[in-house]
Amino acid sequence: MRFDEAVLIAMQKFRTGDVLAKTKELKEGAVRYTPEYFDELEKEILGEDVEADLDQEMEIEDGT
Amino acid sequence: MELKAPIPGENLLADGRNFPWRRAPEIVDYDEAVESILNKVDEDAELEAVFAMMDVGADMVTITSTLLLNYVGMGKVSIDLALLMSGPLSRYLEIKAKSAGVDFDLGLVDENRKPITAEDMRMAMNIVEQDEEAPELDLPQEAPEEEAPEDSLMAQPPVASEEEQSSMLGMDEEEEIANG
Repeated sequence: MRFDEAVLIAMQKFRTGDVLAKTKELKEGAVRYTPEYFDELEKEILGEDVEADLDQEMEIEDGT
Repeated sequence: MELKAPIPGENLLADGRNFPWRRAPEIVDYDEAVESILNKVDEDAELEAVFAMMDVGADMVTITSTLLLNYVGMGKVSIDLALLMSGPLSRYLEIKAKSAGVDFDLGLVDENRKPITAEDMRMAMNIVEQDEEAPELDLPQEAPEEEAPEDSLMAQPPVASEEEQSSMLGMDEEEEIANG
């Protein structure tokens, strides 16, 4: 397996939160940089844009 | 044309002990390593380079692996820790790109993607396949094997009896020695 293939898998796993359990085993105490941390950061930086995007997506899914 | 390839075996002559990636990594803690690379990426020159790569069509996987390999090459982190850092780094770059309004391709594999088949291509090109039976080809038939005559060189040699086989293996001599 090439490095970029492993990076691709690691990125996908991080998005689903799978890797974090193993990362927690490596580190004592709480892990700071979790997927939730980046979700919060995204909301903080992008502000209303993210919420607006989410609302639009929900509207599209509802068919309204 | 001049080729600038290394001479075979040149790597055996180079003293690689002092390369940064040969030494113990500077950072071994996950949070510390992620914070370090995020701070580095936040530098103007780095961020401009990342956005430029996104503009020319490099996907997030390529950009992330390039940055991480560079970090490993500098001796900052080990390759294992670099893999753990790939998720947070790519997520951070994604947020930065969104905030700057830069278009990017994540480069992730869609697991629900349906593979394109020949049938799909025919449907798309409006090619209607007619049920035509393939014409039978008149292939030459193999002649049945004939057994070679017994006195021929190609004939199967006769199988030796059990006594002959044991004598050939020296079993009789061993029995005689054992019996005294």
